[in-house]
Amino acid sequence: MTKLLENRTLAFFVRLSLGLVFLYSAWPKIADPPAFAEMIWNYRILPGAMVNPLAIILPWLELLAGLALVSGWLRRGAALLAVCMLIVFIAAISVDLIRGIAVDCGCFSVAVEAKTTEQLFAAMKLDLVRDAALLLLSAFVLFSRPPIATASADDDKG
Amino acid sequence: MRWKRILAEAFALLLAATLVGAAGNALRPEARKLAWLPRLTPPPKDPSLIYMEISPEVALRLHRAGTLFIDARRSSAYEQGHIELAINIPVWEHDVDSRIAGLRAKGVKSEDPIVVYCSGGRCEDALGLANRLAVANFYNIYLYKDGFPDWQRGNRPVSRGKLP
Repeated sequence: MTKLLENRTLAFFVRLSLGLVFLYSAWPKIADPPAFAEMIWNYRILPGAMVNPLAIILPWLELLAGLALVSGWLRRGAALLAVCMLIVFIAAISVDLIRGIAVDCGCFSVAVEAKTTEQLFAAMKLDLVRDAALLLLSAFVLFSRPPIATASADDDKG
Repeated sequence: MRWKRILAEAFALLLAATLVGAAGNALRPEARKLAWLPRLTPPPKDPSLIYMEISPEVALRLHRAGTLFIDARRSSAYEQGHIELAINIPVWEHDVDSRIAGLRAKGVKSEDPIVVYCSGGRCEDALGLANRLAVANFYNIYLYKDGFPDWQRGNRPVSRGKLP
């Protein structure tokens, strides 16, 4: 396990792909915040007053975290944020699955699509699996470390 | 030590996202802007107090009788096509409250019948708009739940573009 966490090539590719996923998911939300606010509202979890502030900030948080992961600058902070965001996403989807509320995930697209309730529930379960996989990758980036010999040099680079 | 630094990094990113988000939101055109603290009313416990759901046939009759139709979808969807003569109050856009207030200026009275619709399905947009209209003291609200897709399927009169 420790060996895996110290594998720099692996860490690099995991970080890069995770960053690209976040960049890809941030884009449609940044392009159309009202549509994203509607998605959050439809989850029926947050009180009304928190919906819009979240819709304004979260897409940029995803974008900045994605950029940080891709570039490597502030990558550990970004990985921590990614872990937090994914835990929140997983919790939100799970809560609605348990309550029987069918929602569009709003993960990678904010376009309203005509889907049946069954299709939505199936998609939500798939979203859970995907978010869990991403959570694993984020945790890997958070805990991965360079070999001790180069630790300080790497830290200087950020 | 290491965790302190990671937390500081995460906090810096969060702060940056808040600042950029706020700045970006302030600079956007109206249709893409969000109010920080909107008045979002949750769905009523008893919907029949606020609106009445109508079938496509009744919607068509009301349309022929010249009833006011309001499209609750996004302005971009409205411009691509909407029920003829319907006006647009996109419930998720920044200026929704001023548009509702504008109904009074157009001479719409509290008791006038209003049909709200959106893109069918669970029709959350039209529900949200019906709630807002009720809060603004309109009380003769009809919900055309099947909405625009159903209207199109029935080959009923449609127009495009913004209102003149």
